[in-house]
Amino acid sequence: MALLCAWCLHVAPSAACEAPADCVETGQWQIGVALGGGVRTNPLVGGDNIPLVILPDIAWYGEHAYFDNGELGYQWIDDEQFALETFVAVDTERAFFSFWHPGNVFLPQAGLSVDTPGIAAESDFVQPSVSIDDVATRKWAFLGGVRAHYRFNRSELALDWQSDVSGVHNGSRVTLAYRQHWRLERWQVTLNASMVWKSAKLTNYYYGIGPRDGLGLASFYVGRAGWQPNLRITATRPLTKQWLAIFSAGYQGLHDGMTDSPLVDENHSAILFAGVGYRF
Amino acid sequence: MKRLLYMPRMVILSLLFCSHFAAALPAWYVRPTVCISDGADSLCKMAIELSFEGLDDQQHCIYLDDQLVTCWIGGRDLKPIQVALRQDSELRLTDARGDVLLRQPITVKSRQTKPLRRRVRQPWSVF
Repeated sequence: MALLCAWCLHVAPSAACEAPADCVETGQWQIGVALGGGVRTNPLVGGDNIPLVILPDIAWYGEHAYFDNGELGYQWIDDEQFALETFVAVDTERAFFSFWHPGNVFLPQAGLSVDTPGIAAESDFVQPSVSIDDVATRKWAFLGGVRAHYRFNRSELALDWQSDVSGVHNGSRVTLAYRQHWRLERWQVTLNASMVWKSAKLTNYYYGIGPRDGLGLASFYVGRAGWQPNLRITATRPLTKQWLAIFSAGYQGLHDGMTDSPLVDENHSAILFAGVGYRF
Repeated sequence: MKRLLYMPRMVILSLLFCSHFAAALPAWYVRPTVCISDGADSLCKMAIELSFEGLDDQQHCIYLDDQLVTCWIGGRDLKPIQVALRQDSELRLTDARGDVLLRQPITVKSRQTKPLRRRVRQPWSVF
């Protein structure tokens, strides 16, 4: 505890927009690419961990509209303390069903196919777990939502609600997030902590097993709603005017309504990345 | 006749007296007097160089608005003074009694830059 407090004395909260990456000049693109080594672990049976070698960072902010790393939105309010936006973003849940998995080359792409190679006959045996190779393809979905931010000191609270606007799963999610910035010497450190609620429809589409998957009744599973805790810390340090060092580590806890699925064999997903980034 | 001889002497004495008095009036040179900031809400920082003429050997002080910047004794030039301004201000030179001898307005102007927008997502957060 004494050591932790001693470290606290050496860090100074950073003011908003002191880190160039946190803010974008209106009408300008902020484009960067990070090169390094890292991984996002995959909690699914038969799923490959997602390698993180090249990470993009793409953002554009106009007077009100914006694009930020896969999210397209419109800010209705944006002042020093409060912000409100509506947006559309890619539902990254699909990423665990990795499109780099070699099985995707051989499995049919249609979601309702039952003629999938490698599926056991219904009465042969009960599988305690089911590989993502053995189920129907899950589609990418787009979520539309609204988010509000409250900024104070060097912290930020954000609350958002997102719902499927692409008609893929008709599910929704709610996120309550807290973000804190620090400056430690030349390092800019950001802590993100959040609780994410995922609806039963969203959970069931990706992790439920039903008739669409062409498996026996013994494998059927209905996904349930639940809360997922997330914690992520990111540290960056400028090396030159355009190059910077990047380190990021995170943990995502998975809720029982998802981990009880035969498709899932881990109760968490972790992310780790270290490398250098270049800002154009 | 005596009056005629007396008058030139009075004129000369008056001229000498006046020239002495004129040389004693303090003057200063303040450079620059306009500060350019990056944006309307940004703090404008610059170093102001001061040089003086006609200061006596008494104490003098420099004030930026109501804030004391420095005091010194003698008529020497000072090192540049660092200022950080958000709005137009005024430099004042005072004497040992606190009377204002000289004033110089300092103007703040901002560049026409586009405002910064804070990102809604954490950078490098694609995954």
